[in-house]
Amino acid sequence: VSATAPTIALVLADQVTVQRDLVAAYDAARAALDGDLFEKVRLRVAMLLGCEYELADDPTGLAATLPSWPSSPAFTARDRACLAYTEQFVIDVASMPNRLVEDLRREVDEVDFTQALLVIEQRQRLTLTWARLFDGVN
Amino acid sequence: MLSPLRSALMRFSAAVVLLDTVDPATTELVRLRCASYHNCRT
Repeated sequence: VSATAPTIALVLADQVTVQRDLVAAYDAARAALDGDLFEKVRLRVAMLLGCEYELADDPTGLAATLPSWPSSPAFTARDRACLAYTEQFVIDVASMPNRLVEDLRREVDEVDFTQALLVIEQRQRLTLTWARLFDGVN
Repeated sequence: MLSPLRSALMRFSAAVVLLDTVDPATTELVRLRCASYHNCRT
C-alpha cells in the first residue's frame, strides 16, 4: 500500500457526476454528525479496516483512546451506543442485534447515523481498494 | 422533507446506477454476491 491514498478526484476523473456526488455525500455525513462524534466513528472504522490513510489524520491522538470506549469516562453514553453499533456494522452488519439498534435509537437519529456511517465506511473501503488497484498513481 | 445527507445519498446512488462501464450481467453478479455475503434478502 502506498503512503498516499489515491484520491477521489484522480480515480473518478472520468466520472464527474459520481465524483461530485460522492464528495457531497461525505460532506453531508460530516455535517450530520457533530465534529467530535464524526471523528470518533471515522477513526474507529479506520482502526477496524486497517486504513492507515485515515489514521494518519488524527491531530489530537483520538485513535489511541478509542479502544477503551466501553469503560473510559471520556466517552459518553451516546459515544458508546454509536461506537458499539459502528463496530458491529463494520464487522458483521447482518448479525446486528436489536439491543444495539435500540441503544443507538435512544441517543441519535438511527437513520441519519447509519447513513453517515455507511458513507464513512464506504469511503475508506474505496480508498483501500483503490490503493491496491492503482498503487503508484500518485 | 429529506435531510441533506439522505438527499446526497440518493443523488450519489442515482449517479452510480447510470454508470455503464460494467456490463449488466457482471453488475448483477456483484449485486447478488454482496447480498448473499451480507444475508440481505431485500
